[in-house]
Amino acid sequence: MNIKIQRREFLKGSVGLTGLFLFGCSNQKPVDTEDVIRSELGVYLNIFSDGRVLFETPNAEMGQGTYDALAKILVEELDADWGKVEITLSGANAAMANPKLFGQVTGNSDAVRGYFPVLRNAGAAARSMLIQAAAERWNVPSIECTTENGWVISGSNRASYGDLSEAAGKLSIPENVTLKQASEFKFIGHDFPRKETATKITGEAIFGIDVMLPNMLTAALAMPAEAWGKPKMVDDGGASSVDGVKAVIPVFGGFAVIADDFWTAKTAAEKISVGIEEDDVQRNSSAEIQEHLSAMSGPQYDEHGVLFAGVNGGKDLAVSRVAFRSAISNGKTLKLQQSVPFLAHGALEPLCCTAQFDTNKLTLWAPTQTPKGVHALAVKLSGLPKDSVEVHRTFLGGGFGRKWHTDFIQQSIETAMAMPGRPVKLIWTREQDTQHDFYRPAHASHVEMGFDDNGKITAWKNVIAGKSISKTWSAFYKPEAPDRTLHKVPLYDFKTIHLETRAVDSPVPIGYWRSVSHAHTCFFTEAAIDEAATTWDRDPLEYRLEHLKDERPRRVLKALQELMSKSENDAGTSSGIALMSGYDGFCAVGVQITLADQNLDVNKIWAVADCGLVIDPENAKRQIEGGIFYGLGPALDGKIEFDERKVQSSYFNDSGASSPFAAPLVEIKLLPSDAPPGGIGELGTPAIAPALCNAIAAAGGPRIRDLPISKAGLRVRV
Amino acid sequence: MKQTYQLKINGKSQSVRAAPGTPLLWVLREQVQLTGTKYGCGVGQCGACTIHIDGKVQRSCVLPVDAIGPDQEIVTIEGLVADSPDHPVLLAWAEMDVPQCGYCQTGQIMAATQFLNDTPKPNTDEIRAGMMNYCRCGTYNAIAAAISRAADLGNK
Ligand code: FES
Ligand code: FES
Repeated sequence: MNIKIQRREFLKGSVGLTGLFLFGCSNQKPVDTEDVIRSELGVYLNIFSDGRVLFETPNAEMGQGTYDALAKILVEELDADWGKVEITLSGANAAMANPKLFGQVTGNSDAVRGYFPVLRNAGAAARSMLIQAAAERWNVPSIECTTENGWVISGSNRASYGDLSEAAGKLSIPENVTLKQASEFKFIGHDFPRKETATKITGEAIFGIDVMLPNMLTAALAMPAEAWGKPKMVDDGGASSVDGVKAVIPVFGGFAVIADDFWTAKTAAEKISVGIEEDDVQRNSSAEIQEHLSAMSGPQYDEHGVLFAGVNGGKDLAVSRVAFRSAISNGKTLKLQQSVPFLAHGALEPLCCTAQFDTNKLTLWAPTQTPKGVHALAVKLSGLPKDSVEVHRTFLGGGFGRKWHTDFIQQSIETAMAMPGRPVKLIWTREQDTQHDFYRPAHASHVEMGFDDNGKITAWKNVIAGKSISKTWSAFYKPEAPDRTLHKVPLYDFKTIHLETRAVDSPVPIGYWRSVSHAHTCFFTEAAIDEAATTWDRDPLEYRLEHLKDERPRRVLKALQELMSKSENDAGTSSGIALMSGYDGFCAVGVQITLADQNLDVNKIWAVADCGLVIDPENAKRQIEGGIFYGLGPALDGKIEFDERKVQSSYFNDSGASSPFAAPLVEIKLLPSDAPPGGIGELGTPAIAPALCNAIAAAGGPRIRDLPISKAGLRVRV
Repeated sequence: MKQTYQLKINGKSQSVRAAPGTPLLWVLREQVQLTGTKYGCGVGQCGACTIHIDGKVQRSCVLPVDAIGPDQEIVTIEGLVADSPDHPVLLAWAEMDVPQCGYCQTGQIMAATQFLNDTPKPNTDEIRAGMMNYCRCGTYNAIAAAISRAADLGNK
């Protein structure tokens, strides 16, 4: 494979660039110290004269394993010695934009998908420069040189990458590079122990909450009990005169108490009574909101419809509605109404961030999914020039979409600006983390299916009502474009498809939650198709196959069938399946349950995935399994309810987190695939909820159309 | 008002200053800079703050510093690693590459070492019943596998 590198891609500041920089450097200082010369091209890679290969990863590491995965992609083409490779988290760096996203951000399972070509090119270009340096030294043609594990070799000549790095760093970056064939891969598709594992075991890994700086203060928050509304101080309660408290200041969303240590700050913050200003916002309980959503998805709110995908690709809502009506006019139809609740993210590490403000400089240490957003916000709030704002990143103790937001970053910057010259670490409490989230929005769905005489679905209509996430980000919201946070086109071959969204305005703060729109659309589609299969007395898996043309999902379903067949006859059990497609991949999930006297036990879960070319197979399986657990608890008993705007949950056990007590065994199979890499971090989450509901129906239990399952009166163990 | 307390942490006696009622978790993290012990919930639910006191598993977020005597043996993940770098649990955790985000893992390891002391040859059901720490990344099965592996290593 020969890839042409666009010359301009190496220029500073251009978007989607590949950059690399090699230099000989005998001292062992980390590259982010001031006195090391940095090339404008040195964004990803540095090779030191002592042989160390330093990869600065652009992506957040929050458990998904991209820390190693991205390094392996680069090292694959570089042909370096993996033992000499070191990885660090880069700072905020506009030159590190993910080509699939709009900046240096982590989301949408796009890390490998976005950086794959960039990092391969960078590795290959660096290798070619090292070869050229060696060829010049030995006075042989480059073509006679090869590389092996960190060495350039030509005949009896051998030189290490470290030895060549200084000379190579002076060469110009090649216009063209040759990339490896997949059959030559030594890293991609092969499991290696993760490099950061050791530090996560010993406790040395630095998460956001672990940042410790000389002279540091700690801040805790007083926030209103209400999840939305403008906060107002009702009574300071003497917080500011508590021993050890340095200041009480208003911040975004409430008040911050800055003190010598967290406990002093937190206990002082608890003395403060915070309310909200009077406003005229209606509909304050989640029950009312959900009732409204259900109504919205029905025919009486037709005038709010926005076409997401029209019959025969049509773009006109009214025309598409008429076409759908006529498509179902002669046959049997099935209509159903479904809903999913608000959900919290519940990363184990609560929100936190450290910042230090000096007259001419603002420095942050942030566990963030958006270095880009953090940097921009810091520039805005401080009024400092861009170059005077530095964002360091830490590991994230889970992210799941929550750390894409910058509310806590803003509070952190505000506390630092109130204490010039001293670093301040802000830490949320668990209760605040649960009660001031940007929730997975509740949605309601109306599905209507038309069938041919053989029971095949020939017409499919799905209206989804909910609050649009993209609409809350004015910079990204294009009213004319289909709102992909609300809907998805199902992968089934339903001849006539009419998909509509009804974006509902509501004051509830909402955001991206692991798998975003798939988390609800997969449930709506996969529970509905299962209901159709039951109606026509078909095997649910075979019924899906009847509606699938694409070979990849068919293969995934058949492999699941085989995997589950071993347990088919376990006494007293029932099973259900569901299929998820997204992130350039497919994942079929099966679950075996026991349902007796309204007691639901989840015995075992299977998943089969085709996620294209996989960098780390074992990690991919773990991601799918972790994704399933992330969806399992909410499916069983996850919900965030508001009463008078107040969130009724505070902890893991009352918001649907999968607990250790009820974790079933999970068996995952990855299918080999020639497709390009897919995203793995979110692929496992959506299908578990419909698979479970389908299993419950198969067991003779209720057909669950509204999540969580506990709502139907079943006793679940989460 | 802050007071001085004598604590024995990872084999070393030292004095710390904290307001009465301050949970040991925050004393360990902020006064002694032992940040391997994590804050997850503050109410004894998640187990991220798990440490050993006198050889028993404790959730340090709900233990006031003033309730701990100067001779009680407090061991954190840092102490475990320093004291027994080849502990079967640490080896098994590394071998099975258990962590995802990693935030819960030090607490899981502290819980697992104690669990294996009490139950040296656990079966799967015993592991499930005995390991009570939340993992939001869903590493439960990897944890169970690592505990079985650690049991094998420990019983060799
Ligand atoms: S932080 Fe102690 S149990 Fe959660
Ligand atoms: S590894 Fe992330 S919470 Fe357990």
